[in-house]
Amino acid sequence: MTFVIQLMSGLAVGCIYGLVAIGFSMIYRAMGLVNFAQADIMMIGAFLGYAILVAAPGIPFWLAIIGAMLGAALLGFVIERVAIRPSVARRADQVYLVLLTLGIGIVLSNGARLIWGADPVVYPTGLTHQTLTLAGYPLPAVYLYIAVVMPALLVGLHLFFTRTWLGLALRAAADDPDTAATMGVRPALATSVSFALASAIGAAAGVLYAPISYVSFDMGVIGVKAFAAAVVGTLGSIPGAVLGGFIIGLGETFGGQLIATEYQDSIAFAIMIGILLLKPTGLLSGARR
Amino acid sequence: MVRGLTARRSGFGVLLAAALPLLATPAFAKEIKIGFICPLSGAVAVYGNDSLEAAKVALDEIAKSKMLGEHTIKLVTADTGGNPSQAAQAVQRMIDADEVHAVFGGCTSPETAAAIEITEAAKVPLLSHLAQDTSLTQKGNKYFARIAQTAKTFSSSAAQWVLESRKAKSVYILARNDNYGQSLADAFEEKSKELGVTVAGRVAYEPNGREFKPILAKMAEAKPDFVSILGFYTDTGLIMKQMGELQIAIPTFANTSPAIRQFREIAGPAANGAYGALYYFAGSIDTARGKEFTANWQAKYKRQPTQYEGMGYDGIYVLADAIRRASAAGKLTSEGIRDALLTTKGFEGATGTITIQPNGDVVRPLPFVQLTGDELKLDFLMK
Amino acid sequence: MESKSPAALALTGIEAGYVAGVPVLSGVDLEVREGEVVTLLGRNGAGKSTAIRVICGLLKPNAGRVELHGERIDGLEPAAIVGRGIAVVPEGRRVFGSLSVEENLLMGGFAHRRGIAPKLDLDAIYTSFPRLVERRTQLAGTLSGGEQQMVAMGRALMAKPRVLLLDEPSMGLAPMLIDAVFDMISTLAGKGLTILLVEQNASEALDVADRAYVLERGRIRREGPAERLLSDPEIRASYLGVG
Repeated sequence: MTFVIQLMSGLAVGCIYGLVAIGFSMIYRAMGLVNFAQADIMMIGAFLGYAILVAAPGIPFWLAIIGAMLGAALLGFVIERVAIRPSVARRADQVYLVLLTLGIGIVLSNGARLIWGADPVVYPTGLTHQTLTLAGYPLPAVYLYIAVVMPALLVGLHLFFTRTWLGLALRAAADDPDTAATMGVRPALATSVSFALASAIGAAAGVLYAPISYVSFDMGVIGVKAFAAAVVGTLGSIPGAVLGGFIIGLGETFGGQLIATEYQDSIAFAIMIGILLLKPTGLLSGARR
Repeated sequence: MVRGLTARRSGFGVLLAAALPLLATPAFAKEIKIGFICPLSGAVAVYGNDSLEAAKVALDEIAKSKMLGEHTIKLVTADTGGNPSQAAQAVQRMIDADEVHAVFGGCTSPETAAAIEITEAAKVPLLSHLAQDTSLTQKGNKYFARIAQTAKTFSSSAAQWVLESRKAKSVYILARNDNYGQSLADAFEEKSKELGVTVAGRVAYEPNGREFKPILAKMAEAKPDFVSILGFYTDTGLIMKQMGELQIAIPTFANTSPAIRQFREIAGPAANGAYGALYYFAGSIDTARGKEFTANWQAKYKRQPTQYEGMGYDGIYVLADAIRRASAAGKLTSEGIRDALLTTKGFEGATGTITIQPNGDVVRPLPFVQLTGDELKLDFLMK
Repeated sequence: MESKSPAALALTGIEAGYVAGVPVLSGVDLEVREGEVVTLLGRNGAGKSTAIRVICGLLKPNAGRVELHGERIDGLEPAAIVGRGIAVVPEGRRVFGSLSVEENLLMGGFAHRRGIAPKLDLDAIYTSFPRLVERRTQLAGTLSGGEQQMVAMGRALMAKPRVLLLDEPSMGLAPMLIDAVFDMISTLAGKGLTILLVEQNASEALDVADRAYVLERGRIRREGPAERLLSDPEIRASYLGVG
């Protein structure tokens, strides 16, 4: 009983870390930038889902997910155009860019606080408190959504990147923007689209995460662990991000139980450091990405 | 035109009314200035705004009742925003520029601690109605008193209540892994053991944690009679929500959270039946003073007072009573007020009978409540 | 004997550089007529690749004009230039290392993405480079240099260019592979493709070219039919290492 619950819990948390980590990896690949605002974009996505559920009571949950993804995509596109592009174009130092994304994260977090207040909000939908029993194990109903949406997003992303011109162009532009330009790709547009896509994935994570807990302006703190997940799985690799998410999610859950829960946060990073000592470039470096 | 005329006339009337007592005031009447510091904006503004509203009600009553004879109290308010350095600046300014005789407030413990630094140095008494940090009265401060029980008292009273009122034989403690949660847990565990309650387990959880199911699954295996969650309403709410998801039905004490709306939203239906402790619970005090307070409040606001309103109201009365006694002793100075404050004994307050001990701590009833549906019900009043 | 029709590709008075006041190219005039193979020779740093970047639109010239069939294309975005029929095999091949061989080839047809043309054109490319068929799902970054050169050429051909730019296609290849590359260029020329070939390898380049230009420190020093330059003693001494 306890083991299965811990396993499910670790997997669910791992999915959330993984989805945020995908965002880290996509942007890193597209523009060589570690976007520390990624988890705050997830937070905004969670609030957008909240706004949708409040504005249209009774709307199906999956529509809230899609709505939040679209809203976050637009936000990501604008952030890239307005805040990040000008600095990258001026060949700003990497340290400066990292500070810039941290700053964007703080602005987003304070912005959310201004709009939605400092108190946490709870999704006004039955799903928040619904539970179900699966093979004798009690589970939150939202786990079903995670179990469906996560694989659907991964398959969707895979098809997008391998079967569509836009996906192919994004990968080519990430590899070599100049050469891609000579084939007809507009690299500047490609990075904006990548940023928008990463933001949409982050928003999906936020909306799925919200019913498990609550939404608050400071929920972006999980970004650090998602970043660890991305690094464990090799920054820039999407399968690696998912793998890293599960490793960190399951690792901290079981590690926390085996050692002591007060060290749960440290365990996530101990895992990251341990893996990087064995394989400094992450688990999926060199593998097909 | 007619409206303008009446407005002017009533304005004149107010002026006249204000001037009359001035003319009648004997020479020794004194205006006593009291500083008021609380968060009136920001995340914890609700503490300050509720307290201020109630303080004004209390001051109105005090003025009307002539409890202080010809003396009057003037409140000098400042917003701390919940920020300690802002609180310290405000207190410094009140003492230097406004020359206040005493300071009231400090809603959170950190802002109160910052205020104490200033008031101790200036030898101005500070009365906090909400600050709970046990250490505030352990440092030999000579000008500080409070009417809120310390976190330690809160927690060990809770442990005692678990045994006495709930007849629990074993308890499982989940505490936030920070200074606040751990000091509560220490007191709770100590008292439990002292009373012979088995502590089936004690877990410190991460303050940022949002996934408690692994901890809870393990807790369920220990089959405790009672669960005590010692943390903020965000943690206690999530933990109760996840207990519901795991269908763990063990009576639970959720610290001070059950009175907070967001706790109920986060925990959802799982919050039903949760026990909690409050500074004050309207209707729990069946003295004449207690009943009079809630009846008046109900008449004025069409609702019961909140715990912060009750505390703000009583805090001002305790201070006014100290001023009255200081005045009677002929020592209407900061020092005189301090002496009177620290010898408050058996004061009949709206939130119960209040006695302040020499170190500044209080002895006062503590209500335990249970959340039933969306309503709080008194479970037990610990005297 | 000059034809009256505009050249397929013409550079007139091109001045370009990366740092203000330090031109890499100055006053470059160059012309590639329809169906012609023209080679641009020069040593490292002479400005050959800069000329290619200017033609592709990756670098805006400070002065002068680039015309494609009489239409000005300087100032256009690279994406617009490929749409007008210029494809490039860049220096160092620059295959997309994390894309499969087939994906690389498909990217070459990106400009024609609205139809199914690119997928159909794949067959033609695989016929020209049979070696790539067995490598189609392999990541291009894991191929050998010669195979990567095939990918780069196939990718450029997928754009169905009217003018093909080849930037040092023989660089870094084993002698046998160099021959294969030039054979391929001859084949393409035989099919009537207009080609501008930038090379350091002058003898091979002059063998396949109709005409040649020699670039020295950013200026055109010599130009003329390939055979004439091949027999020019100065060229033989400086670029062919003989004489």
